[in-house]
Amino acid sequence: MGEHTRILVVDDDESIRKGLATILVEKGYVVDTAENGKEAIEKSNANFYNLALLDIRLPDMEGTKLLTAMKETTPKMVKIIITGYPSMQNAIEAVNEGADAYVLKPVNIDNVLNTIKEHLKKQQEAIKYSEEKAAEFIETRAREWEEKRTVIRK
Amino acid sequence: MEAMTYVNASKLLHDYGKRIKELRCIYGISKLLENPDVSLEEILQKTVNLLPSAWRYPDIACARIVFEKREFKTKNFRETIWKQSADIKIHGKRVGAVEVYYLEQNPTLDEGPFSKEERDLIEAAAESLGKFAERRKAEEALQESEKKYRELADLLPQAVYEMDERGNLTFTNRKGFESYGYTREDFEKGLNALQMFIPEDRDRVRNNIQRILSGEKLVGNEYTARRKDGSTFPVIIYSSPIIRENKPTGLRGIIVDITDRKRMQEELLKAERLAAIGEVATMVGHDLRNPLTGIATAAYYLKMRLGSKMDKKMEEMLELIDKDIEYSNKIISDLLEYSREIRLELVETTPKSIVEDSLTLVKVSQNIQILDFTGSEPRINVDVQKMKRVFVNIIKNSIDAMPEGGKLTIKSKESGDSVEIAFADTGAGMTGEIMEKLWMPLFTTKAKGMGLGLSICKRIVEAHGGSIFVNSTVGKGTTFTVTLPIKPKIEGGEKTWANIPGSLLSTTTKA
Repeated sequence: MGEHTRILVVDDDESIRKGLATILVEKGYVVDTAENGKEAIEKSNANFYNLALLDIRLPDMEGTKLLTAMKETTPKMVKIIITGYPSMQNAIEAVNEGADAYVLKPVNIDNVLNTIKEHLKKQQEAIKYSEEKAAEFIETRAREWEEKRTVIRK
Repeated sequence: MEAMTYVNASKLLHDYGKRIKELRCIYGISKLLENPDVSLEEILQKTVNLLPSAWRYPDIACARIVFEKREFKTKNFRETIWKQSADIKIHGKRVGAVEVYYLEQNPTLDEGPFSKEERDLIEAAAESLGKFAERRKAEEALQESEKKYRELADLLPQAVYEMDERGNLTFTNRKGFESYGYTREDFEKGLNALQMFIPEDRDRVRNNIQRILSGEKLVGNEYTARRKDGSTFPVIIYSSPIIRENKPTGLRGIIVDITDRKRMQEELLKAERLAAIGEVATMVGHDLRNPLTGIATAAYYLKMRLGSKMDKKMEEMLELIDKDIEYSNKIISDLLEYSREIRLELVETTPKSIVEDSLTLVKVSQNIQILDFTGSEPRINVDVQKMKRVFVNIIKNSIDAMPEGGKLTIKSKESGDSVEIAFADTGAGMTGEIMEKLWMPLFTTKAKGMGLGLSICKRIVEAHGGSIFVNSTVGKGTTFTVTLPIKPKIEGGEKTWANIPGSLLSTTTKA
């Protein structure tokens, strides 16, 4: 994991927010928190986060709505939903709205940490892949240029 | 002079004899009329036979009674010109006649063909026959109307009654006998209205009888009725006073058995209760799962920070927290599940297979012996996961009932198109009071538990179209019997359990 992996924890329950944040900091992440949907959107627009843990019920909006909003502004951020109400309906909604995973309350912290790790790894891989692709692209282009220049010089 | 005296004396004697004959005839007729069991026809025939004897020359007298186109005659009857007749009238209308004839001419003509006394006698006979027929007809009409009333009353699907002002029952219909279990003999011996109610209701009944007698209008009262055998059922009674000559002489009314209505009310109440539990459960579930998450997180942090510095006691305490979080969460899940509709996923299996699987899920202490005699036949269609839950719950209850150790015997038996699985323990047993409340949600005798286990079991078994029964003797043990149809008919065909697929619920990724 990168040294500055940034995580946003969104939950209106203070003890969950504080608890999760403390553990994540302990695990070496840079952690920010938000206690409602509005704050979450503002923070995610202003700052970069690799990943967000989202409570499905927030005082000002449903977690699925927050997901929809975030899908547009921060499509690459990993979004993990935390819920106390397991039901087919909200599971489907969450996935449709772009959640990457779905965790049940009361959470098993090991599970959460593993999920976070797993998704960040995927994200890194994706980034690395696109970086490689970009480098390859640039290299190829540079070579082409070089070749063209040689041809012109001749 | 002497001769005169003799003539006088002989005349007197003759008159005297005649009076006696007349009297005997009148007496005979009135005796006939007194007997209520004799038919009108018989009375008329017997009267006609009596009549000639009262006439002066009985040997040559004959008689006929014509009554509503029917004739009643003496054996020697013949119409002659020496005739005496009187009309029989009902309500002043002629309906027939009494006739006496002499078959030959009267030998002594000094008194005319018939004497004045004979005229009086025939008039008297006609009159009393008329009066009698009038009364008979009225009685018959009354009987007919009573019969009609009784037959109508017997057709009623509700019990009706009549009683006097002291509460003695004077009438009830077939339904009345049926619902209360009393016989006509009991009724003839005398029954009091108060006997028809449980003792706790009798003061209220007495009071309401007085209120209705005094003219107050009451719109149906609910009571608990008591049958002859002591069993009870709920009723609502609508009564009104019987008024004779402006005075209330009793009550009559209709008794409606409201067992079905009550049951429906109770079911509605139960449904409401369930809905309320559901609402509370959802609320409580969410509200509790948040703090549980907080606790779990904090405990995790401590475990993480303390790491190897943690001693055995600390580790134990942290595990205690985790265990209780899990238990609390199970209570929440039970509550949520209880308020949810049960859907079945039927799979073919055997009683033995479910029982064996269930037994692996239960911790059995050393002092408890479990004997599993369940069979691999018949093959049954059940929702295995849910039925396992039922069996685990019953087995755990049995074990809990035997803290000092004991034996749990599990047997299965095929009977007809169902299979019975019985769990018999040698534990503490239950009182009738506990057994009555056993299936109620939120009822428990345990210090730890929500009291949802058995009511969920009952719902699961009933969702299969089966039933669950308990039999218990305090000090001897308890037997739970689950009866399951071999091929359950589930409404609307095969339903699938609308559960969230494990892949979504766990922390795995979306593909």
